[in-house]
Parts: sequence; structure tokens; C-alpha cells
Amino acid sequence: MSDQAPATDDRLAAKPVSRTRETIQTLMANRLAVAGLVVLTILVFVGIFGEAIAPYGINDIDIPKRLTGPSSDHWFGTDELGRDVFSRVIVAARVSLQVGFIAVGFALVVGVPIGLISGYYRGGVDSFLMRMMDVLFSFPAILLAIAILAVLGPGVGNAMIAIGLVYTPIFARITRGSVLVVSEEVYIRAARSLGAGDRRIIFRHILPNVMAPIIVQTTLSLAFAILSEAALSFLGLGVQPPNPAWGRMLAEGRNFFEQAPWMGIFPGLAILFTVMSFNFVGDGLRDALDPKQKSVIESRGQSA
Amino acid sequence: MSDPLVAVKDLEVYFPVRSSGVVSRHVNDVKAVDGVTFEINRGETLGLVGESGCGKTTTGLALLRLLQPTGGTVRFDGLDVIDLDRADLRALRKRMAMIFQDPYASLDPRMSIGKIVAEPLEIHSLVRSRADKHRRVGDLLEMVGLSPDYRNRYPHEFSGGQRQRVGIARALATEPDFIVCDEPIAALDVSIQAAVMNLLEDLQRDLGLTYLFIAHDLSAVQHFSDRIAVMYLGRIVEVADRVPLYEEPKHPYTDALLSAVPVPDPVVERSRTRTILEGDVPSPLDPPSGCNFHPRCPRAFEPCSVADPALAAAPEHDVACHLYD
Amino acid sequence: MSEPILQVRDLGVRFGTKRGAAEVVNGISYDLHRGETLAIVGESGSGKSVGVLALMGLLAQPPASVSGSVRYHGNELVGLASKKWRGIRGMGIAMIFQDPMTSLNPVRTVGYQLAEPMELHLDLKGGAARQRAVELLDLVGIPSPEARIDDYPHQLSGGMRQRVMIAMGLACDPDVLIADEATTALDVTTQAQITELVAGLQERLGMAVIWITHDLGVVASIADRVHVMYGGRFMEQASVDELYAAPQHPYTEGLLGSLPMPGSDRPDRLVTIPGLPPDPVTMPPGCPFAPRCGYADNTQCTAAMPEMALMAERHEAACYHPIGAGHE
Repeated sequence: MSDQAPATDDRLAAKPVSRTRETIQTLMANRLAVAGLVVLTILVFVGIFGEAIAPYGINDIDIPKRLTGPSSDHWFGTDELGRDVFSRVIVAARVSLQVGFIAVGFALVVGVPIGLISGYYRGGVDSFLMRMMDVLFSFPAILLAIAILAVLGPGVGNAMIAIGLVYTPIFARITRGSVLVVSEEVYIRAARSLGAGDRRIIFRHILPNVMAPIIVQTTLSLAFAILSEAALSFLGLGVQPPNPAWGRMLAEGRNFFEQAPWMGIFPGLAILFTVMSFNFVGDGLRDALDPKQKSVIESRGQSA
Repeated sequence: MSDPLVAVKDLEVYFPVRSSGVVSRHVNDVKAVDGVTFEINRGETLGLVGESGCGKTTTGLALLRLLQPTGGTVRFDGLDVIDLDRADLRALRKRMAMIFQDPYASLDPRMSIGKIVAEPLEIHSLVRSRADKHRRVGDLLEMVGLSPDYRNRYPHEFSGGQRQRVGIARALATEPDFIVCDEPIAALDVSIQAAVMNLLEDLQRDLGLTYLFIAHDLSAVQHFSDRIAVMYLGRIVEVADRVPLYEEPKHPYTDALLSAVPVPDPVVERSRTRTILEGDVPSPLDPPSGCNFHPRCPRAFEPCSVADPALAAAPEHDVACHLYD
Repeated sequence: MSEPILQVRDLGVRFGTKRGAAEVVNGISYDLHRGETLAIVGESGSGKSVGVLALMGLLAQPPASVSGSVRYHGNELVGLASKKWRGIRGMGIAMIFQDPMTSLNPVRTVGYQLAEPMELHLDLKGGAARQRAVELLDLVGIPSPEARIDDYPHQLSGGMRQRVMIAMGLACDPDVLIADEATTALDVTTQAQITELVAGLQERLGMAVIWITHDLGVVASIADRVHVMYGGRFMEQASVDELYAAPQHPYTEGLLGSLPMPGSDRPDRLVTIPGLPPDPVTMPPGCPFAPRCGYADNTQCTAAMPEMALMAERHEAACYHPIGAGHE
């Protein structure tokens, strides 16, 4: 029908290049992000199989061997009751990850729809929802979590809810901001001109195009959620004894810091590595998902 | 002549301007489209030409009700487009389509071009099975000169001209009667523009399409349209068939616009005298009194600053100017 | 003929990219004489803008590397130390760009931005610089310049901003003005105002002008000589009349044929050029236009780039099969 034969374009790569594929390739070229991913993979593995890997039971008390330093028997030493610090750090990984994933999952499930609705429909709905989010956001995160736990009572489950609530406004705001931008795009208007309804536009067009900042925020929030859980447990509001938690172990280790520094150092290092890994992956994702990073010459090559 | 396919009467699109304060008050309106009337006959192309900010794109969007007009009527094949409810509007969208200016922005970057072209088919349940969809999408891509093998490719892998072809395939998917082409070639390279224009012409001939062709480039509009409407500051100042509009422009603005378009022929360029307009287009927030072109018009006289000239329906050549009262 | 103001010889620009080296400009040569208007026509990606940026020393090196020679009044500009550029940019050669909004500083008044180069180059201070700024605004046709001089860029229309850019370019009496797609972002009536303005200024001030544009209509109305650029090379160069009346290169012929001519009776279908412009990284060996050319053969055209050859008086084309030679 056209006088121009279906052009076979020698510029096209052999396979379709989706944005997702490009993102993964860029991410894999980032060494820090790959290192972070490796650490996180090990961590998840440890979290799942912690009890099987741990050389000792978490509450195996061995008073004669109390407060002994790192050795071939006890790699991370023992605590004031002679419990193996290595086993406790390993088993505590599960609860840290659990709290992190569930709390951030809660924030995602509540925050993202709020942001979508606010940003897409605007007007009164937007004002109402965003003022609610502002109220939550105006408190310092950890204080708000403490206040919520003061009402609900201490415990792991309540800590998850508290941390999740604290992070909800962040997701709502990020989503809303991106939705405001994306809904002005011409392709949204194009979809509407085809007769697409609100639901289709929101789920097929807007959501996939606002995923990038949400994914980055999820990764970074996981780091902060794990940190918050550690802080709450440190304060005695999270995981309750005798179950191990990194924050709790840190708090207990504080009392013995001069005689047995390993009691605090190893759980501290566990927190550090976990949080850093999430941050590296988050930063890597941010770079990989940001199309502005592409060199001018490359985008020009495609723009002719 | 049969009924026109599209009849627009006194169309108005005002955008309210609110004061910025604690309590925002409605202070003024941007009169983007201010009483526009025209008709488009079946199978013809009406060119809508004007400079940026004259309201031509807004008119196109209001016509498809992608913007809610603040006044006037739009009738499509006898249906009142402005008063349709959601379900009827959806059904109508099957019969009208739009091709957008920027082929980079008008395709969802997260969707493969196959999915993009399939979307209208899904929305209007026009395909019965996956195989049916696959075949239809392949046919559509072929129709616009793209290989169906490209269906799994993403928009960013293509050049501007190829993307615009994808946009055209998407617009054709529901077999519409009427397509609003909003500056479809303005963002393309010179050597690509002609191919897209030819494609649009072929499709019109083969499928019996009716076009509203919106552009700022009078040469392209001239080439492409049967009739041309010239717009200035939210109003239509002149409507005529393509040849009389070019050979005997009546409105001084049309004359100036024609004279400003450079002709790709140095001999012609040297021989003609140009009417160069003074100043800039006034703000649609505060349009001039009377005829809104009068402050820049080289032929303005007393009534122009006082009375607003109506678009007088002369046979085949309408003009809104006091010179022809 | 007198000594040219600007003599460009074998100018090349190469960019290093992740996918390999890109020859964006490949051996272009031209002379610019006093009072002359030269147009360089090309599509996006043809290298026309990069070519003048290289000439002005405005490309960051690396990633770019510039080769060849550019002589301005006999002085070599390629490889010139950045200190020495100050006497040339703005003083001798001025440049205006496509987007007058992003070329002006939004937080400074028009007057400040006009006075700045004068204080820098001409040693004009305070009142004198302001007086000169008002004169310049008047020269470029801005009404009531005394009032406009204290405006900020956002208070002006697109056409007015382009006038301000031209006034800035003229501040130090340059003898070369380079306009890089300077009217592309403007409406046609404003475009006509600006081209008219530049032509008038050129006559009064005796400047030479290089117009970089994709618009063959604009070229026809303003240029003396035209260079057609494609894939980083000049394909054809001629006087404007020659070029439009008897194009020799198939690419020029295709470009001219693809333009709708206003006013004619509904013409036949437009001529189209199949395919896409080449990618500078994977530039084909011979003539860059060969893959899209209807006249190309499989031996010469794809093997080596043809030399520029004289077709008629002051009319050259780089083609093995020029139109004038006749095709069966």
C-alpha cells in the first residue's frame, strides 16, 4: 500500500530490546550493585535455612563458656549466657528480612494505590489523601513507629505494622508525583482517544511507566525498614527475648562491650552489610532505570 | 451534497484562570477556541492551519471530546458528540481516531508496537481470538509499510518516521471513518515527511477516510487538503477550497501567512513581494477588541477595532473581515 | 575574488561512543566571503550543526576530536588555545541558536546580558554599555527598546528573544554570523520577520552569514550559495539558482521533489526517498547516500566516496551518476 517497501532496518538489534532487558544489562555492569545482589542472595538463603545452617541452637545455654571470644568452635564468640553469637546472628537474619519485606510490602500495597488515585483523579480526592499522608509524614519516622507501638504494644507483628505505616506516605508521594508527570504524556491522551477507560489507562499505561521510581524506593526502603526494626528491637519494642534480633543483640552487647566486644560487633556488622547491600542495589537500579544516563550520541543515532 | 460527516458550530474552549491565593477565585479565561464553526464532508480533507497558540490543536481535541468544550456543538454523523454518555462516547471512539504530532511521545515506551496496535482492538473487542489478533496486527503493520516481524519491537528501537507509521496503524485499527491528524509530519525529517504524507493519502483513497489535517505548515496543508480553514487567535478567519485560498486570499492574515511561507524556488522568492506582519500574536487571555487581528493588520480601518466581523458565508469562500462587509 | 574571511578545509569531527567511533563530520571544505550568505542544508544527524560547533571551538574534546583546518582571516582556529578564542567568539564570529529561551539566562535582564560581552570585549562601562545595548535592540527592531532593556527573557515572545540573541551577536560588530536553525522554533510569520531582519542587517553591516537549516524553503529565500550535507559529507554545492534549477546529486533531487509546492494544482504524489539516514557509527563505506539512492550501482558507489567534481560553473557534486549526465 505504501510506495515504501517494508524497510528492513539494518540498525535494529537481532532481538527486540525492551526497557526491562536494557535495565538488567546496565545493572549487571555495575559492580557495586552486583556485589549487593550477591550479599542479598546469600542473606535470603541464610534467612530461609538459618536454623539448619546454624551450628548451635539459638538458646543453647553454656554458662562455663560464657563471654568467650571468637574461636574455631564459636566463630563470633559467645554471649553472657554462653550462647553462640554466630548462630544467633544467622537466625536473626530471618526476622530482619521478614520485618523488612512485610513492612515495605504493606507500605507498597497501601501507598501505591493512594498515589495512583491521587495523581490520576486529582482535585478533592487528591487533596484529602495527600493531607492525610502529610500528617503521617510530619512526624519523625522512628518517633511515629514508637508511638504506634506504644498504642499497639511491643512485638514483631506490631513493629511491622508500625514501620509499614511510617513508609506508606513515601510511596504514596513518589507514586503520585510520577503519575502527575506520566498522565500528561501524549500516549495517555492517545489511549483515551482510542476509547480506553480509566482502569485500562491506570493499569496498562500509567502503572508500568511509574514503576521505575517505585522499584528504586522499595529497595532503599527495605534498607531503612531493617534499620528501623533494629532500632525498635534495640529499644526493646520489636522482637521479644529470648528470640534473637540484630538490634536486640546490639543492645545486650552494649552492657558487655568492654569484656566481650564481639557480642555487639557482629550483629552490628550484619546490619551494616545488609543495609549497604540494599543501598547499592537501589543506587544501581536508579542509574539503570534513568534514561537520562544514555549518551547523547546514542540517543541521536536512534532519533533520525 | 449529502450531510457533512462532522459539523462544528460555535465551538468554545475556555480554560479558566484562577488567582493564586488561599482561596482561588476565577479571574479570567484563556479563550483558546472562541466560537469556531466549520463542516467536514465525507471523504474530504479539511486543513486547519494557523500559528502556534491559535487553538487549532485544541479544536481537534475538543472535536474528539478529549477536552470538554465550554460551549457550542459538535455533531458527528448526526450524533451530538458533546452530550454523549460514557458508553456512547466509547462506541464513538471506534469511529474517530487521532494521529499525534510527536511520534516519540505518543507511543507508550513500555509496550511493544504489536501491543500498541492491538490495544484499540482489545478495547472495542474487535478480535475473537489470539490468532485473529495476531493476524489483524500483522495486516495493520503491513498496511502502513512496516514488516509484521517488528511486532515485538519497542518504540525506542525505531526512527521517527517508523514510529509515526505505528501511530497511523493504531489509528486505523478500529476502521474509523474520521481521523484528526495533528501535525503528523512536523516532527519528522524532510526526506521522511513526503513518504508519510503519501501514505496518509493512499489510505484515504483506499479506505474512504475523512481527515481533519491540522498543521502550521501551509505548504503541507495546501498539498494535502481539499478545503482549508485559517485560524487566528481562537477564531476561523477564512475558509475556502485550496486553490482559491491560495490564489485569491481574502483575509489580510491569510495573505500575510501565505507570503511568509518560503517557497522552495529562489526565482519565485526574488520576484514576489512579501507582506511581513508587525509584532506578535496577542495573548488569548486578553484578546484585542473588535477583530482580534486589527492591531497587526496592514489594512485595518475604523470598524475593525470596534466590531467583531462574523464569518460571512460567501459561496465556497467564507471570510471574517470588515473589508468584505 | 577577494580573500575569503573564513576558509574551511577538510574539517572532520569524530566522536568516541560505546559502540565505536562515529564520523559525524567527514572532510567538509568551503570558503566564506565578505557579505555572502552561505546555507548548509541537511537533515537531523547530517552533521551540519556539529560542523559549525567545531568551527567555533565549542565541542568538548574528548569525546569529540576535530581534524582539518579552519582559517579565519588567515589564522588557524583548529587547536587554538582557549584563551585566544575570546578575541574571536563574539568579537569576529557570532552565533545564534535554535532555542532562544535556553540560550538566554533566565535570571538576568536583557540589558545585563547585552552589556556583558561589551564590557568584556569593548571595555564599555555602565552608561555607555547601556546606551549601546539600547541602540542594538533598536537595530534588531525591538519596539521601545528603553523599556524592553530591563525585561527578563520570559517576558518576551519567542520572536523577540531571537531578536535579542541577534542583538547580542551583533554587539561587537562581528563579520561572520552563524545562524544554527535560528528560525526553526518560530512560527512562519515570525520566521519571515527574522530572515528579513538578518538580510537587512547583513546589507547594512556587510557581514557574512552562514545559515544552518533543514528547510529548503528558507534557503531559497535567503542564500547566495548552498551546500547540501548528508551523512557528514557535502554532497553538492552550487549557487542557489543553479541548485534549485538543475540539482545534480540524487539526494538533492530527492529532497526537492519531496517538498510540496504551495499553490500548484493538486500535484502528483510527492517523490519519496526510501530508507533512513545512516547511523554515524556504522556508516557505509562508499557514498553514505548509496543505500537509499535510485541511481546507485553496486561497484563504485558502495566502494569509495566520489570526489567533488565540477558540473557547471561554480556547481559541484560528489556523485558517480550525477543527474546532468543523464540516466536511462
